Amino acid sequence: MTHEDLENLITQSLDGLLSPEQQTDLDAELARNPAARDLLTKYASLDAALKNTPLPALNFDVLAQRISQAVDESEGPAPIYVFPAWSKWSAGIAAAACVLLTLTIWGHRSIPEQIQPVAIAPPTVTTTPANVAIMVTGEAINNQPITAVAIGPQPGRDHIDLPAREALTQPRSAVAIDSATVPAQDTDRPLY
Amino acid sequence: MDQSDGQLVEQTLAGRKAAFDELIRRYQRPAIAVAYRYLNSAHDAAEVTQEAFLKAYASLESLEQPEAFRGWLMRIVSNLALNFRRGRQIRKQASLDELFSPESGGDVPGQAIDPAHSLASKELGEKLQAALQQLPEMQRMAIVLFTIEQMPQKQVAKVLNCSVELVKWHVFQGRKKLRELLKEDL
Repeated sequence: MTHEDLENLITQSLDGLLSPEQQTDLDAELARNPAARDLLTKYASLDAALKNTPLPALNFDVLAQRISQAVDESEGPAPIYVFPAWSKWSAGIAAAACVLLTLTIWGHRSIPEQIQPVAIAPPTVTTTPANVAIMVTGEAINNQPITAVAIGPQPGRDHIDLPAREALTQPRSAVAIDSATVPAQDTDRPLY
Repeated sequence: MDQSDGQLVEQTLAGRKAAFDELIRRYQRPAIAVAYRYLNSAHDAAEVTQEAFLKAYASLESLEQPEAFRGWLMRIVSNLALNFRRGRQIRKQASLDELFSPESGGDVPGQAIDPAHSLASKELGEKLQAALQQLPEMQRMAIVLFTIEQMPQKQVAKVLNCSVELVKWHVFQGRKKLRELLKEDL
C-alpha cells in the first residue's frame, strides 16, 4: 500500500465511506504501522477542527428579520405560465400550416421563368449595305437587360441574310419590324 | 411536528410567506457558514446570504424537487459567494497581503467569536480559516460543503457541477493541503 493509498483510505474512513473489506485492510495497516496511526491522528484532528471552526457570533434573529423584510419588499416568486392542454395540438396545426405556406410560396417561385413584358427603350436604327438592322434595348420586369434585334432587307432588296434570320429566331429578339416600313432615310432618328 | 422543506416550499408557492420565513430560520446559519468560509468576512457573508434568499424566493417556481431546497440554496449561496469573492479580488488587487491574513475581510464591527470555544480552538479556527482561503476554489468548496457542512457528496457534486468522483478527489486534495498548511498546529 502506497502512502497516497493510505492517506486516501484514512480520509475516506473518517468520512465513513469505506466498504467493510476496505476498513478491514486499513485496520490491519494501522495495527502494524505506527506512521499510519500518526497520519490518522493528524487527519482526525484536522476534521475535528474543520467541523468545530467557530463562526462569527451574529445575531441570527435580527438577520432572519432583515432577510424576511427584504423578501417582503421583493417582487416574489415569478409565476410560470402553464399552457392549456389544447395549446399542444393547436401549436402542431399552426406549425403544419406554416410549413405548407412556405412550400406553396417556394413552389410558386420556382416555376420556370416566363418571358416577361418588355419595357422598350427608343430603338436606334443602323443600316448596313445589305440590310436594315434595328437594335432595341430595354429592361424586362425582372430587371434583366434585354436586346431585340430585327434585321431586314433595305428597301429594294427582297431577301434576308442567313445570320439575320437566325437573330430573328432568338426568343428575346422576337421583335420583328417590317423593314419595308422603315424608310432608309430615317435611319438616324428614333422610331418612337 | 416540523414541516418538511418540500411542504414549506409548496406553501410558499401557494402564497404563504410565513412558510418561507421558516425556511430562512432553518437555513440562514448554514448559508452564513458556507459564505463565511468562502469570503472570510461576516459582513460579506451576511450580504451574500440575504441575496441568496432573495434569489431563491424569486425563482422558487423553478425548483423541480421542493425537498431538495437545502442543496439548491447552498448552490445559490456558493455561486453568489464565488462571484462576490472574484469581484472583491478585483477591487482589492492592491492589498493582496491582507487577503491571506487571518484578520482579512473586516468582520462586522463589535462582533465577537463564539465564547464557547477555548482560546486554543479560536486560534486554530482562525488559522484554519486562513488556510482555507489558500486552497484552490474547487477544493475549498468541496471541503466546506462536504466536510464542514456535511452535505451528501451527490449534492456537493451538483453544487460544483462535477461528478461525485471529482468531489472525492477535491476533498482529498484539499485535506492534504490543509494538513500541510497546519502541520505545526495539528
